[in-house]
Amino acid sequence: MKIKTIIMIAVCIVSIALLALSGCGGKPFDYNPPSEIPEGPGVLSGEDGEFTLYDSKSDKRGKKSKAAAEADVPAAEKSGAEKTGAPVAAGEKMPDSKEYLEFQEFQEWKKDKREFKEFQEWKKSKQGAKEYQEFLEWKKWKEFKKWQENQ
Amino acid sequence: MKKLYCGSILITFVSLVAVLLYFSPACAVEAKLSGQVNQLIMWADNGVDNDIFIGDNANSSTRFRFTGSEEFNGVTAGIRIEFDVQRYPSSTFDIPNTGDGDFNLSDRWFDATFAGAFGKVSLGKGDGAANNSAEMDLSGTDVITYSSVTSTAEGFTFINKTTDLPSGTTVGDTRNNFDGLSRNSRLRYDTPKFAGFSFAGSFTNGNAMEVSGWYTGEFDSFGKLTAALGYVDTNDRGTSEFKQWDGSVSWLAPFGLNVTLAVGQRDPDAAGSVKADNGYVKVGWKFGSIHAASVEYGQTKDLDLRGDKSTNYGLAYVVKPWKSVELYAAARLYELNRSGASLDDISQIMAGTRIKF
Repeated sequence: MKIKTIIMIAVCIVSIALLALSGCGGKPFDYNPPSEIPEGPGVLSGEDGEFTLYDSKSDKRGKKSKAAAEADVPAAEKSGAEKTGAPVAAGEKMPDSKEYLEFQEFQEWKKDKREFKEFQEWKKSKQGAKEYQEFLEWKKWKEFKKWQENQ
Repeated sequence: MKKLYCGSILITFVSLVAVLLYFSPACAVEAKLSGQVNQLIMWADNGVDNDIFIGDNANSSTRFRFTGSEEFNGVTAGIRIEFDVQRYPSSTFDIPNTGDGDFNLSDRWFDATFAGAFGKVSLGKGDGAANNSAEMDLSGTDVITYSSVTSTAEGFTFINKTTDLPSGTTVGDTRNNFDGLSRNSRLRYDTPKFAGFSFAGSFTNGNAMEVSGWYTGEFDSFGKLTAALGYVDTNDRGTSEFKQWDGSVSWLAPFGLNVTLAVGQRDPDAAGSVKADNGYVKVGWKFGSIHAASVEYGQTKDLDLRGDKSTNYGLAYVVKPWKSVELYAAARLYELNRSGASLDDISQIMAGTRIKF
């Protein structure tokens, strides 16, 4: 059999397999070619992996305006308990207390969002999946103990 | 037919831009800067002599870029300006090593785009529609080994075993993954994704045309799968005109096993020339969330001379101790089997790092 025939058969098999798989509910993802800059954080730019030179949603570089923050933060998060303790950066104008607390809440939300994403990735990893299963079993066991105590 | 094809894209593009810009106020603007440094150290042996090189990893060169976007009602206008900043690219290494090589500041991307529910229209220098279609790779070791095997060895000259003198044939003369036309000044259209499938077409200087089809899908129990097919007709572009097709597929299992295949064929327009074929396979393993290892084999036939069989074997290891830092090591062996000539193999051992800033 000629190489060309083998390749054409392989292409047909792969095409049919892809069409069949696409019917199985695969989620599309963004592929990053080998020669391009990888996705993810940078040593200087941090989590975003990019320096933001200008963002119309921000008062200035890297800080979102109150309006943008309000638009991004879900209502349920905004009504959460008040948080205190984050220092104000040197040279930054001290905001009024309501705005300041809102900004802190926004920062907390961003941090939680990041951590939650990391948690989801960990859960998908081989080690994470195993540990997460153990955690679920431990939770069931705790519920069982609690139930036993109440009997 | 070509003129009609390009004319239709151009009219659609201009109409869309005009309508969108006239009626929609901008609602969000962003401008960003990012880049990477990718440096390696390599020991190489051509059968007669060996040497050590320190330079830029041409698999994914040192570079920086500016990106910007402005969002209108449902349409994002974007720009991308990107430069290679390479000192001694690994693709130019050859024995003997006599210095630090050249410094190259070159343009990679000068791209203006409009994206929305209609897909994406790009104008300027950037990926042709078929670029990367032979380079799908989910192994995690692609920073140092992937189907473009010339990136770390293009300049190395095979040595004639009989005379111990350079044969005049380099690895780059005999190897090619027959990927698309790389980055070029083009007008490109990408369809939106339909269940993971998308298609693209581009027209570039010299009346060259590229078309491609792409697939990406992530499955709970099957893992990740990505595949692409590309076709190129250079028409009057460049000194050697040809028609070319290529394809690649890469699968990453949920437990870390991964398999990558790439094939391609070039059919030169010149009378009496022979078709050249390429095949590449890589099998790898991703483990412990930060490690990846792989072995590869590839062969290009009949590219430089009829009957040539240029082959490579390789293995690679990559560790990502921090999200922005990759450390890698690899070894590769290149062979050229040419009738009427006995040539020494070229071997390489290399290590390096890519740091995103």
